[in-house]
Amino acid sequence: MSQPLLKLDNVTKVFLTDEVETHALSGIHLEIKKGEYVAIAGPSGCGKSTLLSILGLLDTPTDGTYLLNERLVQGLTPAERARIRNREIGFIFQSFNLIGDLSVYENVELPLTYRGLPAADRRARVEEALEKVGMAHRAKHVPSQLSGGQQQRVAVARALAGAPAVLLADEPTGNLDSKNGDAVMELLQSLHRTGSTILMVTHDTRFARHADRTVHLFDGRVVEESVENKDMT
Amino acid sequence: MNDIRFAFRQLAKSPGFTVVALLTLAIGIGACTAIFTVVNGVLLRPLDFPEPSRLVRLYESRPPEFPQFSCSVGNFSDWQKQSTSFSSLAATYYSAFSLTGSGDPVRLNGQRVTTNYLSTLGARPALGRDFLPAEGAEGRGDVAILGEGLWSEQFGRRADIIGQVIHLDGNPVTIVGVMPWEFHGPAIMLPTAFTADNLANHGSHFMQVTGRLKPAVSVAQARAELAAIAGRLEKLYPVSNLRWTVLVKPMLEDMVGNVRPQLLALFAAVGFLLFIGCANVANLLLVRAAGRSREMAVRAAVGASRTRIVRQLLVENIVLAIMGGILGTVAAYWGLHLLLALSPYGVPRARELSVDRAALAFSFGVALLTGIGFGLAPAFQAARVDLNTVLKDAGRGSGEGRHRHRLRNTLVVAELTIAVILLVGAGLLMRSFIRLVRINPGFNAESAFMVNVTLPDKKYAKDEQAAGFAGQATEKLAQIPGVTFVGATQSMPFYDDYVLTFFKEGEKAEPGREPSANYYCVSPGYFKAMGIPLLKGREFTASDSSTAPRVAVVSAAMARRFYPNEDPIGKRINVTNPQGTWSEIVGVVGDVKQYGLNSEAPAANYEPLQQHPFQFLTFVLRTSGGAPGLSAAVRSAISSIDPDQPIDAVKPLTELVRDSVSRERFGMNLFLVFSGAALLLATIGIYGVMAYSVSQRTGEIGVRMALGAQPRDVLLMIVGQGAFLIAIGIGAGLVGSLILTRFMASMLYGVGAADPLTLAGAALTLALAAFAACLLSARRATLVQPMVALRGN
Repeated sequence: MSQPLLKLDNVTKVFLTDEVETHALSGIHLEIKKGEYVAIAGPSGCGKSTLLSILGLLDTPTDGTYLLNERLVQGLTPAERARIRNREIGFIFQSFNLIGDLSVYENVELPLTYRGLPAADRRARVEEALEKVGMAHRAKHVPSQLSGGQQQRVAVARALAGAPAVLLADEPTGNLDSKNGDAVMELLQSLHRTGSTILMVTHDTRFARHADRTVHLFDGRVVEESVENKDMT
Repeated sequence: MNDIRFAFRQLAKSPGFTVVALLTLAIGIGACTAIFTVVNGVLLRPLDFPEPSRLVRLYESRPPEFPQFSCSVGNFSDWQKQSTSFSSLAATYYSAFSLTGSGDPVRLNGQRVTTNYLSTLGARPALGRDFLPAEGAEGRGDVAILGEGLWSEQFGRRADIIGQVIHLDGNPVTIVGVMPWEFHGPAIMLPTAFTADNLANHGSHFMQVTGRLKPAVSVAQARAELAAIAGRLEKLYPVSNLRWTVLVKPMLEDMVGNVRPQLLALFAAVGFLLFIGCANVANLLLVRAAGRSREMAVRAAVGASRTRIVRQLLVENIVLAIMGGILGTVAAYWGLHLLLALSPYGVPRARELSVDRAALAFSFGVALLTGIGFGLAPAFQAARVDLNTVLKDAGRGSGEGRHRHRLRNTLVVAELTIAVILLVGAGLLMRSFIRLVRINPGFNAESAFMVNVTLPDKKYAKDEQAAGFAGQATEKLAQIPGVTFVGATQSMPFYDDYVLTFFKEGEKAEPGREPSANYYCVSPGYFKAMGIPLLKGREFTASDSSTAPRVAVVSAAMARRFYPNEDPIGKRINVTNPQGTWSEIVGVVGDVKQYGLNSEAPAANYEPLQQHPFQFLTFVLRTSGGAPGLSAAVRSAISSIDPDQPIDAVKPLTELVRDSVSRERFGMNLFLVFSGAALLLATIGIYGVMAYSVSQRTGEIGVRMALGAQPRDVLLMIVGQGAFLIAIGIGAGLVGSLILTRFMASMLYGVGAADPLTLAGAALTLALAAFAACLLSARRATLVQPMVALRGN
């Protein structure tokens, strides 16, 4: 049996504010295999985004272990974590988080620049990613000239460009209308079909059904895991 | 009224912003007002005499040797008789008096004046009366008018002083008047009487002449008339008047002309400083406006027009500026006192300076202009709100457009540009000053002291009496413990001068083109006391007495200039009169700067004091590293020869040298203060812009870090942004410096206005300071937690 790409073992996250302890995550066990499409669902404040932040190395767990590609990622320096984020993880945010002063092309190129790739290499990858999301014709535009759906497609291209091991999507349709939301979900679906590993946070059960499996969180705990029967849908 | 009340409430609500903005404005407006007070009081305000534009000063001139020279009695008298341009012409000349009869004798620096002097100026005594015309007759000059200072210090401001008799140089003199405080005059004035001999003398120049033009006569007309008179006198008196002409200068111009460039440069510098301060405040206002975009949107949503919002914000800014102006005026009051305390001796009209109505009006005007000028753009920016975006997106602090960025960046670039110009200006003055003070004056000022003694005319009327006093005083002073050498002279470098024409034996000079040299009559120990090196031959000795053959010592400059290819030793010269006794040159000494460190050492001719006695004497005492109680010892030594003889204060020669560059030091210090403040403000400015940029870009930085940016990448990004602004600012500043510092050329010595080292130093200083400010902001950016930033976004 293949080793999981991401593995959380008994992970907890406690926030301390003014002597008040908030348990955002408690004893989370989670394994995600290569090529899987997993949705994390649950109501607001259940710890979905915290879990995603820990998986994306934007935050560290208070307790427990996290293995990414069989490597223990706790105790890494900020620089090493940044390096892993850059090479292994692709982020798709709810609010797109494109940089307004950069063109579409430059936004997609950004993680490759941080990786130190040569310009020709970067160009090939950016063009391929933009082609994949159907935004090549908008390469010279700035984000403010695009619709929300287009901006999210550019964000997906940025996440894809570095060929990461896993795509982490935090409510990718949260700021989109239903038509654009469907289009982005369709894009993620097609990426999954080509072998991408995707972990998506959503509170919309309609979109969670696109995933192979859904992990339900409540009050920082995994309360249920459901496997989607794609034939039935 | 509501706007004003609201403005105060807003300022009270943000005490940090208010304090920083007020302090910045107070420093800028205060410095500007203080310098304006000086510029206005010295350069612009008319003289405190009736119809001051009619007052002129007259000089004799024989360029190039004597471009501006004192006047002779004979010429003055002829101008009076022949000129029709003046309603009156008056003359004055320096005269020292010994005041005796009440305790220790006191040396008074006074003036002999023609009896029409005060009426020519339009001045009147505060107490008593002016001189009467009859008091200008020979034998009638036993009356005096006191200066306010002497009246206060010596006579306790007694109102019954009029009619009192005092003793000057042993002669009874009746006080007939006291001048007011505003009158810039000597300690005491006595009328002068010209004898027939005086009136016939056209070659002895020692008087200052003041004239009052007739109404409707211009300076140019007076110049033309006096030029014609000078031409006639040249023909009448070819020996004394050949090539001599007359300079007529407006009195104000004559008094302040030499400080004008420095004051104007300082005024420009302080104006620049104010601009930098205002730019910082404008940047603060822009940041504040960004933070208040929701408030503005709400106001607009409930019906406030854009004009109404701009008006309200403008009122806030003007209230802030006027408060800054009030604080600035207080700062100016203190600043002016500090300025005057630091200012060099001899800044004309310094006594009249005060923060007056003109200064208050200036301060108010600057505050108002500052409030409007630098408040308008932020007000318009703040009023330009996108209601929909701001109200929907309330918590995010968005609505920060590129135009606001651009304005802030432009302001900070302007600050950097001006800071470079000020730093270059200060750097040039500093390098110039350093070069200046490193110049060897030609004498050794360390451990040497000087004291002036003026012998009264009557008591020391004969040459033997004056020579006897000088000889005895030299001996007595040499006995003071710690004194190693004593010398006496009638003319001190950096202090006063004495220029005479001379004749070389065997050479016939073209009349009117006789060579001239600075003339010193010195005692045998003078060169050793001054530390002037003997280069050739011998110094004077006690054997060079009045009965001995006449001898002279010349300076190296005189030897080079007048004996270029020969040895001057053994050659003979004769001062003034080719029919007189010839003096043999027995030695050559080193050159001495006479007119300041930045002047060329003139040709100098020294003759023995015993052979040419003077009543004006300066004794120089060289000590072995200092002599405690020297003043008392000198006073006691002089008193033991003549108990009625007053002396001036004993003064170190180092002070003489230091005073000679006091104007340069003053200008440099002020420029250093202004440029230091500019550096600080510009650094704060760029730090403010970068820190605000980092706070605005926190979300973006979070995204970049989430995508794998290393702290180094973020650091480089922020520093790069700052470095771009710094590079533009410094580049523009260097270009501006090359243009503007040319106007400082007259204030520089030994360094060009485009000195590359200074330009590089200024650019580097500012670049380092601004870069450090960027680095500080950039470091904060690297500490951004991507998750926190993304949440905030």
